[in-house]
Amino acid sequence: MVLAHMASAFASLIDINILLVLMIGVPLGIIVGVLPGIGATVGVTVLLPLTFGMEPIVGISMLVAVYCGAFYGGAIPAILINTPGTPAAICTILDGFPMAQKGEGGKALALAVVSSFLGGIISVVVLSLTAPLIANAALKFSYTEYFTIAIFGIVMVIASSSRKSFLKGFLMGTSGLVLACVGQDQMGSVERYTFGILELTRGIPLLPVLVGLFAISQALILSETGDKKASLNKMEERQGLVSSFKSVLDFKRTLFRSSFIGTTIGAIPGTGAAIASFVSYTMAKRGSKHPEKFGAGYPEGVVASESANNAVTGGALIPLLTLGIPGDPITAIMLGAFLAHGLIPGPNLFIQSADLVYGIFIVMVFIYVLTLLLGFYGSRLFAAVTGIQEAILVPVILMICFVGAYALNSSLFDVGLSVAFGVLGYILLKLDFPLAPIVMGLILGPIAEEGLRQSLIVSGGSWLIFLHHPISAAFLAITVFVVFRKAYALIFTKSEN
Amino acid sequence: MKRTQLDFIAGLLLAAFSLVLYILSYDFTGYKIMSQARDVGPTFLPRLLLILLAIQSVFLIIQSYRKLRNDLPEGESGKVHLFHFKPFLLFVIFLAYVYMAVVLGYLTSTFLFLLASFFLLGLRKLWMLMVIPPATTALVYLLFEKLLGIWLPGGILF
Repeated sequence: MVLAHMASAFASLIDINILLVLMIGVPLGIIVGVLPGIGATVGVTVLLPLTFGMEPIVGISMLVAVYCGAFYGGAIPAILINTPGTPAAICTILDGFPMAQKGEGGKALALAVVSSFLGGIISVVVLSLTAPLIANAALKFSYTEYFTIAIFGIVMVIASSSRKSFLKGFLMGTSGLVLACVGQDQMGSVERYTFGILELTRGIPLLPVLVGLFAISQALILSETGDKKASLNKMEERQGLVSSFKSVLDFKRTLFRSSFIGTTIGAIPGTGAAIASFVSYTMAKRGSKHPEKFGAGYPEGVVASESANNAVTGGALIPLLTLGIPGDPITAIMLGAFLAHGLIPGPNLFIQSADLVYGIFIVMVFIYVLTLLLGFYGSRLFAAVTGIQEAILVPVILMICFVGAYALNSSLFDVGLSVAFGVLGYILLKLDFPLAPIVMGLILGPIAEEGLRQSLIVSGGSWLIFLHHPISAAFLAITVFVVFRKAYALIFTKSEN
Repeated sequence: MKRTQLDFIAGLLLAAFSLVLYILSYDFTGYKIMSQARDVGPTFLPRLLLILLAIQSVFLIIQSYRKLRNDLPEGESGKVHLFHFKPFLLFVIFLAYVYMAVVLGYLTSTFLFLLASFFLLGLRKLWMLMVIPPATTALVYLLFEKLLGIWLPGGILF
C-alpha cells in the first residue's frame, strides 16, 4: 500500500521546479543554520512568502528543504567557532569544537554531515512507515481525542519551552488560547473580541503572528548587538566521502540509537532537536567503550548529537501530518504553509492528498542527499557565511518579513499585526516569557474548543467522556501529571526549577 | 530595571487584560440564539481561560512581590534593559517603511529602508551602501512580482 502510494507520488514529483527549489532550499537552509541567531524557525518563517506563488508540493518541499538543511547548518559554527548556529547543535560543540582545536575541524564537519544524512534518512524511513499507520488510526479519533491531544500538545510545549519559569510558559500558553477565541465562534456565528474589525472575523491570522513573534522580534534582538567578528578554526585537508561514512559507521550502534531517539523525541510535541541531541549524547556517552573521551574531541559525540538532531525532522512531521498538530514553532509554520495552500494536515490528508504526503517523504530523501553533497563539498563556503554582518542581515530579514506578512492576503492589516506581535515578542523575550506556547495556543485553541464543545454535546454535559475514551484518558493522564509536577514545584519549592 | 519588577508589572497587566476581556465577554452578540441545547456556548471557554489567566497572573504578582520584598540579589542577569536605542530607532524606521510603502510604493520605500537601516546598524562601507540596497530591491521585485506573481503594494512612485 505504502509502496503503491510512493510510486504514484514519485511520478508526480518529476518536475524541474521541485529540483530547482531543493537546489535553492537546501543551501539556504544550511546558511540560516550557520548564522547564529537566525536558525530554522526564522529561516522558514522568512521564506514562507516565497512559497505562496508555488504549487503546494513545490512550496512545501522548499520549506522542508530549509528546515532539514538548517539542522545540519547549525553544526558548522558549533564546530568551527564554538557557537551553535541552532540550539540543536549545542551538544555538537562538546566534541566538535575540541576536534577543530586539535586541527580536525574538517573531519568533524565531515562526520557531522554524514551523521546528519544517515540520521535524517533513518527518520524519513520511520516517518514513511509509521505515519500512514497513525493516520489510519487517527481516522477513528473523535472530538474527544482531539481535545485531549490538543491540550497535551500545548502543555508539553509549555513544559519544555519554559526552562526558566513554568508559570510564564503557562501564562503564554493560556494567552495563546485566549487569542484563539478571537473571531467568529466555530459552532455558531457569534463574534468574539472582533471589535468590529472585519479582518478579525475569521480569527487572528496565523502567519502575521508567526512572522512577528519569531522573525521581527528576533531581528530587533539581533540589532542590539554590535557586529561580532568570529575567528574560524582552520580546516585541514579532510578525508573522502567514503572514508567519512566508514568513520561514522565505526559507531553504528550510537548512530542507530541516536537516530531512533531523535525520531521518537521529535514526534513528541514540545520536545525538539536540542532535547533529542542532549538525550542521545548522554546515552551515547553512557553506552560508549570510551566515555572518558567524550567532551575532549571524540568523534562518537559528534555522531550522536548530529544524527539525533537531524532525525528530529522526520519525527516532528509525524504529529503534524497525521493529526494536524504541530509540536514546535517550525512545524507550526509548516502548518501555516499547508493552510495557505488550502490543505488541512491530518488523517484525511493521507486520503485526499496522498501524492502530496508521500511526495514529501520522497523529497526528504532527496533533501538529505543534497545536504550530504552540498554540506560535504561546500563546507568551507558555508563556513564563510559566519562572517556576514548583522547590519546587513537584520534589515534584509525585516524587509522579507514585510512581504511575508503582506503576501498571503495582500493586506496591510496583516503587516500591522505582525509589527505589533514583533514588538510584543521582543518585550516578552526580554522578560524571559517563552513565545512557542502562544503560537501553540493560537493554533490548537480552535481544535481544543471544538473538541470540548462537541464532546460535551455528545455526553450530555458529562466531563467523564474524556475518561471513557482510552486514548483520550491516556493523554489526559500524562497532561495532568506534567501540570501537577510543575505546579507542585512552583508552589512547594523555593525554586520551581 | 530589575527583572522581578518587570515581572510584577507584567503580572498586573495580564490580570487587568483578563479582567477587561472577561467583562467584554458579556458583549458577545447573539450567543443565546445560536447556542445548541446542550452546548456550553461560545462564552464558556474564553471565560474559563480568562479565569485561569487571572489566577496565573496573581501567582506571578505574588511570586515577584515576594522576591522584591526579600530584596534578593539578582546579579547582572536579573537586570533587563528594555529600552535600547538601536532597536527602537530601527523599529521607527520599519514603521515608516510600512507607511511609505503605501504612499511611495514598495520598491522605493524598500530601497530607502535598506539604506537607512544599514547606516543605522553601522554599515559604513560606501560600496556596500551603494550596491546592496538597489541590488536587494531589484532581487525582491524580480523574485516576488515577476517570478512568483506576488503583488506588492504600490504608491505614487513604484
